[in-house]
Amino acid sequence: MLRVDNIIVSYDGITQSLKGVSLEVGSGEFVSLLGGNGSGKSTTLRTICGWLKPISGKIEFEGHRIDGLPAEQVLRRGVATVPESRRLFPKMTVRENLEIGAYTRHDSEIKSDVERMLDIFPSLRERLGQLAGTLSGGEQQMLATSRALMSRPKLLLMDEPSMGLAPALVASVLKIACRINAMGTAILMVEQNANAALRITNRAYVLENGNVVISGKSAALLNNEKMKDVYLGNLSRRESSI
Amino acid sequence: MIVQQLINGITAGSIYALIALGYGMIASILEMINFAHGDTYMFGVFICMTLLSHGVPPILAIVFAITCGCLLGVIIERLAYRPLRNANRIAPMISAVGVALILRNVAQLIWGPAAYSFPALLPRTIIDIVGVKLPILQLYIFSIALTLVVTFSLILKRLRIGWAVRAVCQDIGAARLVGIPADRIITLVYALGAGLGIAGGILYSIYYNAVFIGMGFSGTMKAFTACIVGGLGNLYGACLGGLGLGIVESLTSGFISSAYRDAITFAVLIIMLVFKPSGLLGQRVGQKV
Repeated sequence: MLRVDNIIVSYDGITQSLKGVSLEVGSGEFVSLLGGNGSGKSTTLRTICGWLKPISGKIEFEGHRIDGLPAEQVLRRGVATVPESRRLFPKMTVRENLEIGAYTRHDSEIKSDVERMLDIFPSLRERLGQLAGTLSGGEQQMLATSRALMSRPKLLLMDEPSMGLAPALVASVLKIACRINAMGTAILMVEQNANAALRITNRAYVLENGNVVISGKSAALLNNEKMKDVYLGNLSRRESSI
Repeated sequence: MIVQQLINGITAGSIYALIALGYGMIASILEMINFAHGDTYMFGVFICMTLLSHGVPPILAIVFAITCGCLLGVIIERLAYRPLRNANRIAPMISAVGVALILRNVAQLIWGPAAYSFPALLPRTIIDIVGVKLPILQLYIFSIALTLVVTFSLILKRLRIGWAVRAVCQDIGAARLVGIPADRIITLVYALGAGLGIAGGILYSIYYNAVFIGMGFSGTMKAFTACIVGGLGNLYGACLGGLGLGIVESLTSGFISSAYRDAITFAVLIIMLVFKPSGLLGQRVGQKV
């Protein structure tokens, strides 16, 4: 469904943040994008969603080129994004944030979709009239996710949904991602917590310095020696090497 | 006396509210003082006056002037602000100062430095209600300004396009993510902002019976002060700030001296910036991470 082919991205025109990243997401798949700080995971997502333009390479969604399209056009093709640090509209109410997620739709099911979101995220229901800027971090994450879903996307891009959340909330946010995927939406999720991500996704790519260095089935990566060493926090091994 | 001054203040304040509303929308996109706002509408008011003095029917002259002003706003955005949208924050401000200077000087080349009187478009009779003299003119101005402000806030609150404007004013990147064509909406905001400004500017000129080059700069400062008083980024606050500023001004000129009318604007601005920069209505919306 999504095919990223050898994209090179640079913020300043001199240093390359992505040095030729390729990846694929199949229809209905749940794929994670792992890597350390500054490895280029978020940059990859920002490029797919249309915020950044690649210098070279191409991005195809359902057979059509989407690289270079502005973000609003990418959304209209069926790719919604839950960006890093949520980017809600802080001076709009929770309900308005949900309804504006359906900005591109003109059907009569928007109201019932709002209800559906409130069923998935019950804690938003009691906050409907509250300004989005006053929500807690976990609630903001839920609202950002449901705002993205309101456009009825075929593919959902999630940028570090667990960032800045209490450990108990991390588990529930990831569980919700699984549920969304089970309902038929493909997901490409950037995550720093490799362990948790590999347990819930089908496949994963690992980025390092703007290159894909490891990729494969998540279950296999959980037992990959390099993964264990660098990303899965194999404590016993690390301690013994000291 | 105090009632009389209050009426004067509310009239002037309703005009400031109108100008501040347009200014506030643009400022929240630009994230800085739009120095060119007042000069844009000064230009529009001069066009309107010229047409009127050549015998063009008032409605036509006003519509044409507002259209010209909207176009001017759009052109300024394209040429002076859009190329700098990703630059640091000081660059568009300097660009705005440049635009303001150009507009002011071009206006001076065309119309000269003199002040003109503005044709009396509204009746100036005075009615007497239990000892309080109520000029019909002020009633007209207040109702027109109020109607425009209310219509506009209803559009922002209820219509799809209004939602898009509010979203773009809060976060351009996020607005794109929900499918809003941000560039087109920004163009629209500049057009509407300039249009509201000219509507306010024409009312101002009718009220004070004067058109002069300097009205642009003082208008910019008043709109900016109103927005700071109401809390930057809060459009309702900006309107209330405008109204409040008008009342404070007219009380000062009534009880102290009218020479201080503009000085009081700066005094309010400085006091607000020093003691409550988030504005009277500015709720601190914490960006939680």
